[in-house]
Amino acid sequence: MLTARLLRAGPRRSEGQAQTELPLVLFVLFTLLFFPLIALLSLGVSYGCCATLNSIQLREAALIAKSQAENQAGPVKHNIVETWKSTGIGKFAKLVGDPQTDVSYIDGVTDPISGIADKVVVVSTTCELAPFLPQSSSFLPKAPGLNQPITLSFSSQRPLENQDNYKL
Amino acid sequence: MLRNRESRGSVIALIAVVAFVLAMLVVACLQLSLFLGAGREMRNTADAGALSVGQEVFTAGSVRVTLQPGNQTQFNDVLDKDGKVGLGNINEVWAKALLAEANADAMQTQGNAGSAKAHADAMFDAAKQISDEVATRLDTAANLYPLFDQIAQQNSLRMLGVSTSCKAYQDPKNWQTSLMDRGQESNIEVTASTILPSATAYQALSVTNNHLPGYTPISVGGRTFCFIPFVSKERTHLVSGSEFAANTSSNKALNGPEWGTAVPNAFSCVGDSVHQATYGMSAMAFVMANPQQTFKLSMPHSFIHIKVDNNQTHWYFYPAGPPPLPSVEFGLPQAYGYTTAPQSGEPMPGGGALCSTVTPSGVTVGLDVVGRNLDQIIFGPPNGDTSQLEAALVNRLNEMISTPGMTKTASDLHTVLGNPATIAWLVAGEQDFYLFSPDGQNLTVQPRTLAITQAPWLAAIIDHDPDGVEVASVDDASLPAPYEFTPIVTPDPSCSPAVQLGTETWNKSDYWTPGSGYDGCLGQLRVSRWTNVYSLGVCAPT
Repeated sequence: MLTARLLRAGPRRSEGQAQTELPLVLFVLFTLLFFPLIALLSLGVSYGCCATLNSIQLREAALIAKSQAENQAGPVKHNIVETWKSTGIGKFAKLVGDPQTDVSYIDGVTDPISGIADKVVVVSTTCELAPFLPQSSSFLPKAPGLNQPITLSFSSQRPLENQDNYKL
Repeated sequence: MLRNRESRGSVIALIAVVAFVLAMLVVACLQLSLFLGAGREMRNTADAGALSVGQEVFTAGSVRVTLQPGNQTQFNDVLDKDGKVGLGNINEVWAKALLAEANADAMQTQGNAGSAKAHADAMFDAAKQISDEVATRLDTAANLYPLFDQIAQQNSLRMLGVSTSCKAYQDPKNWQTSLMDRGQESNIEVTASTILPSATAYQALSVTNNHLPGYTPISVGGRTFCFIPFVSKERTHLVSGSEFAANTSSNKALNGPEWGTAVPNAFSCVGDSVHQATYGMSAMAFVMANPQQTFKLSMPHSFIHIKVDNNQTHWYFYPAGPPPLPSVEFGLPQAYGYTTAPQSGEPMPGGGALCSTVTPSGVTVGLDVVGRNLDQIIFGPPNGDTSQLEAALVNRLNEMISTPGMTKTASDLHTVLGNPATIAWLVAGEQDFYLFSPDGQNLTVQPRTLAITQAPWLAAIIDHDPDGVEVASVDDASLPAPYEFTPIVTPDPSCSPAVQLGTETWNKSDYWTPGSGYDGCLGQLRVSRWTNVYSLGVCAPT
């Protein structure tokens, strides 16, 4: 009886095993490997995109007057951000809200003769990025960048091209 | 069995596809990150190339000009160390032309311009020619490509490939020029109003922060001058693209009909990555040039000619009787030098009341000039009103001084003219002196030979006359001399001398011929001194 049943179930078990394993493999493959990896790659690319924004903002801030650089509607805090958002790399980074930019100035190298320190502009850009996977993927542990928004902050500095711009 | 193999194979195939897709995505991400990094490298390289352009425009031969024969040679004294005019010294050219125009304008107002206005206008036209040529060269993008390449090519673009380099993207549309920092100071310094010949001229300059304003039309003598802003203590630096674009001549023309071709001070540059002769990524940068050199509003190679006329003795008599009856001159004037000497006049028949003759004899002359230096000869007793002459000379002195921050005063004028050596030169018979600055800082007065030895550039211009008209600045100033003598009186028959008295007056005139500075001559001062000898003889009947 048992033998007969085993003999009868033999081929059915192999087929069923494969059919049962495939969804499991697919689930593991996509949810634990494929999508997280893509999410990670996406996060890396977004990081680069936001770093580029910060780099462009810094370059501009080093060229213009302090009042312009600190202006909320000025080239650093507004124009460059809007232009960046409209380009491919800006669109790729899935922003939650607008990037926040902070411009500040610190003393750099001091001239030994005059005793006056060069001014260095510091531009900090904070971007909040939406997760690659939908936040409803509740079966996964909550991880920023994977299924939760992530906040990336960039800060870079550069001497003012024209030191007089610090007074303007 | 077949079914089992198919099931396993499908999983393997699926994994292979997923792995392939993942690999492709990883490669794509790497490429993208390289692209983003390369963009940053490219921007830095373009910045370096643009800064190179901003520095090299002052020294590159392709953007500087050599003066042509004719009126352009008026600017031989403001050439750079290579004997050329470029962005670094074009303001000096304009400064000299402006001074000439201001001098001519003041001379016209005073009514003694002569040919000065025509000369000043010729200098303006020559300066404009030079300026336009410099502007044309700077506006020619091909002249700037090599300046960009020499630094940009040295920068690393490794993220685009080991053999990738940056070269100028040779499209003139993207290589533009701009007129930035409008209204800011130029590198022409004006520290005192005495540098200008009149207060009106000084006011016309709108001097701000002791400098002429840049890209601001300055109207002098009916001509519009325009200087390039080069803010002091600033360096060549990168500027924002938006500010650059807002100040191009096409977007914002300069005021003034003569300034369609103003010399630019800012440049846009485009670099392109080149890998195996294939162009790729490009980046743009904008730079504003600054020579970091200040000049004073001046005519560095210029001079004032001081000419001392022969001193003369004039002989006067009182034939009708003593003063207030009039005296008359009799006999030829006699020359005297810068030492005292006895002189005798011709006997004047009837030179005194009831006198047969009156003869001034053994008269000591030269007391007014003996032992005096040039300053005392010009400004010393008899004084007269020398204030205008002094102001004119101080102005011209300051026009000679080319060292920034240095201003000469009346005290400096009297110090240089009071050189004790001038006493000896006058005694030795020198009559022509030249007041000049051999180094743009110090002043000196020398006779011709010594002057040329000290400043060889004088040799080419020392014979030039001023282009104005001579006016008497001090006209016949007179002073009774503290000296008396006894003339020889021969009485008429039956008369005997009653009064025998000789006196002198010292006299002086200073004549000033202003020069616009054309050909280097800023003016000529001619000093004329003479002594009037009055011989009074009165006889009474015996």
